[in-house]
Amino acid sequence: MRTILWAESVKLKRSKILWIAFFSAVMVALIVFMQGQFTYYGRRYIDTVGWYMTAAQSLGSLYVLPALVALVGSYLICREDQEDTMKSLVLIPVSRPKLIGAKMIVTALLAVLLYAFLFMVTLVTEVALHGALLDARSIFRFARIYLVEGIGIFLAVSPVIAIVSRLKKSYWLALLFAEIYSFGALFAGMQQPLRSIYPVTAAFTVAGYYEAVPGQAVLSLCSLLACGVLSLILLRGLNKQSDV
Amino acid sequence: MLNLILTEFLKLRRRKFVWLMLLAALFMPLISIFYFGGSSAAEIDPLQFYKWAAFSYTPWIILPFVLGLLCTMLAYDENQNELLKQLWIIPVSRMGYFFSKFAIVLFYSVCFMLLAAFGSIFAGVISGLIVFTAESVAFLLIKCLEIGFLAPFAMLPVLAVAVSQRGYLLPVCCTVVYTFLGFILMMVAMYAHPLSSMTAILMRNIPGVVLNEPVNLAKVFFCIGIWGFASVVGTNIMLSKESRGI
Amino acid sequence: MEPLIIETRQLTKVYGEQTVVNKVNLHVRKGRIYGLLGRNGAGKTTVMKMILGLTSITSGEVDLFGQKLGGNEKRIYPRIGAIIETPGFYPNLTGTENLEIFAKLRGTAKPDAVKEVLAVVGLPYQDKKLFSQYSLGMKQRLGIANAILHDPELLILDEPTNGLDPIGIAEVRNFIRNLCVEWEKTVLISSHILSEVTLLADDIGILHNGVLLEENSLAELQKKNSKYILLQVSDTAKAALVLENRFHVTDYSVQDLHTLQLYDTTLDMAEVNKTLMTENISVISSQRCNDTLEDYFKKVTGGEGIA
Repeated sequence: MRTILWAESVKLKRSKILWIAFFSAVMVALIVFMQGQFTYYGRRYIDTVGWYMTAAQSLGSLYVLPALVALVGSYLICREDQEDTMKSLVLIPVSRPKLIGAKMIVTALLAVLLYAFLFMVTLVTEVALHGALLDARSIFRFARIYLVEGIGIFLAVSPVIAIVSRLKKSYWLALLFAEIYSFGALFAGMQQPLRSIYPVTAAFTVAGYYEAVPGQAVLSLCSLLACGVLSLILLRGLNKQSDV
Repeated sequence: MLNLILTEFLKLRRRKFVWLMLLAALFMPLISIFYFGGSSAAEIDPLQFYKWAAFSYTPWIILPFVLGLLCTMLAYDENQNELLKQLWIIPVSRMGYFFSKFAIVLFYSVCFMLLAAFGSIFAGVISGLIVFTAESVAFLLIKCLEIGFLAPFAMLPVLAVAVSQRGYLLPVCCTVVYTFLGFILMMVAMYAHPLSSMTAILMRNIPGVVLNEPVNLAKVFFCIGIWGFASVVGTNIMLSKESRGI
Repeated sequence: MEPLIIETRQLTKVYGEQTVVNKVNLHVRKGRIYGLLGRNGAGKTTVMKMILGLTSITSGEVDLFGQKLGGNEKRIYPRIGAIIETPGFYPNLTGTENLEIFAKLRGTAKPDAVKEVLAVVGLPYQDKKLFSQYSLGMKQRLGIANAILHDPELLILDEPTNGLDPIGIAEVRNFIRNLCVEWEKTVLISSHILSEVTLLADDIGILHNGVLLEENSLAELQKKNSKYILLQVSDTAKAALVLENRFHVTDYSVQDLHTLQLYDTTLDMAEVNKTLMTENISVISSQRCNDTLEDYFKKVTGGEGIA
């Protein structure tokens, strides 16, 4: 497994997808900063301490980041068929479950990295804007929200990646599914218990963005884990397809 | 030019996903059913329902996103299969190529919004949430055609990115970021982004929508025009540069 | 006789209603080069894919090294190197980086393996050029390098000289021959070019529309090439009568009004010509001919020929 993971990381060398993903994260930070200029009852959003870090995380997770994570995941899986390297790998032999597993792990890592990166960017901006008003406890709280959100969003979109991987060449679907799915959270977030169950909002709940009683948090955690299990089941089916 | 457009349609044969994406038009009508769930026809003005089902999110998130994917798909296959070289020596002009793609996007966009309109009527009437009135339906159709027609122009920058380079990752990510930017700028700087400008046109006369200031149509068209123009010029430069490189 | 490395029995592949490969019985012996000859779309690639387990088998069986592939992948695959169709690699990596990935995944023991195989196929080691910038010929070379990277006993090469220039083709040919002679490798190679196969293969299988029409050693096939005398005369009917009565010739065929083929090449042609002249039949020409392999394949495939 370690060799496969090593191979996966080498395959990302010079790959544009990393640049594009991190560039998109920067754009999210920038766009949300623009929104911060909006004046509401004589006060700019951005002037409220913590607003920026909260908004970048929630808006990013609703509109941009899940689609990105799904794109990265499905790209990693579909590229072996696209670039026609699958047959060479099968002949080594590399076991498909392990290969896909490695790709999922890489995707999860990238998702967390992406959130960590967004966290750093927003943190630096917050500090520059409000400096002393920001205390260690809230920084720590935001760090937790961002990182857990990274894993949560990965779990939430993992079924999308799995479905798209089964369809092999239609990785476009990953984006459309993921985008509508993540922005459906807008509506799912309006009421309980849907808010705790819908995977994207469940990720928000588990990360601590939403106030939740323990029962709801557990429900959300279960929902995310169910997503993970579902994608495992879907990917198992993928491994049974024999034609390369 | 007509031939070019016709061949573009021929290229869409057996591409199920292109047509499957149309289903995204029905997302908001479905959401609206749940949103208005408990109410009855007596309480809801049809326009209020349509405002949700057809005028919210569909025009400024779902439609741009779908169109962006469509642009990418249209351009990607051509780039991938080394088809461009063959097109240039037919010869097909760079701009002819670009605008034939645009024609498809335009056609698709109008279809998409019509489907969204019929989906909204259907969802509202079948679920018993609204009554069918000729006046509201006429307004809905006009508005949907308005969006369907304007959105492709607002999406020209994405089409330009998709056409002028090889991969699919960049245009797809541009779509996401561009759409998100348009959505956010709606509140902050409406006339800076074609998508938010388009939304301004949409919102200018919907009953029940209050805007801070009346929509300045000149600024709106200027915004969409300047971005569109820049995209066309940019594409022209990129495509001729690339074809010299072959 | 050498043991069989690949053996297929009644191997069949059906896509929908189309039978692409029909009851193929293939026998590849150890240390020999087997050329699978067939036109485009004859089913060569599908046969190879089925042998390698890259596509499902509709019916029939494959034995590799005397074992079934299913369940033995971990033991059998490391003994095989293969190129199927145009080899795929990661476009964002250089040739060396690509091979390093495959070497590591295979667990190749030799540290210099990548460097060595690149030298063998004539590609530079640690070059900056990305795979996406490779020419077709370079891609093919890299594919061959990947196929021999782990020093396999059996090579399955699907049209490996595709896209190579004539010099490249000759290089690859010598190289494959070398592998077989010096290192006792077994090779299954497919091609649609007859001359290429006859220059290289020990055994030949002819695949046509999914059916293996003929399987034999090159030597045997060449023996089958018939020699004959082509006789052009003013009147074949009269000439035939004379040949039968005076020379007791029975093994001949009449091609048309003026052409005869005599299969008994021991006949004294001077005598034949003289006799025909005295019988008032003018002889326009008479010459000894050889059927080429190409003619033979035309016959086997029912006139369509190979390439």
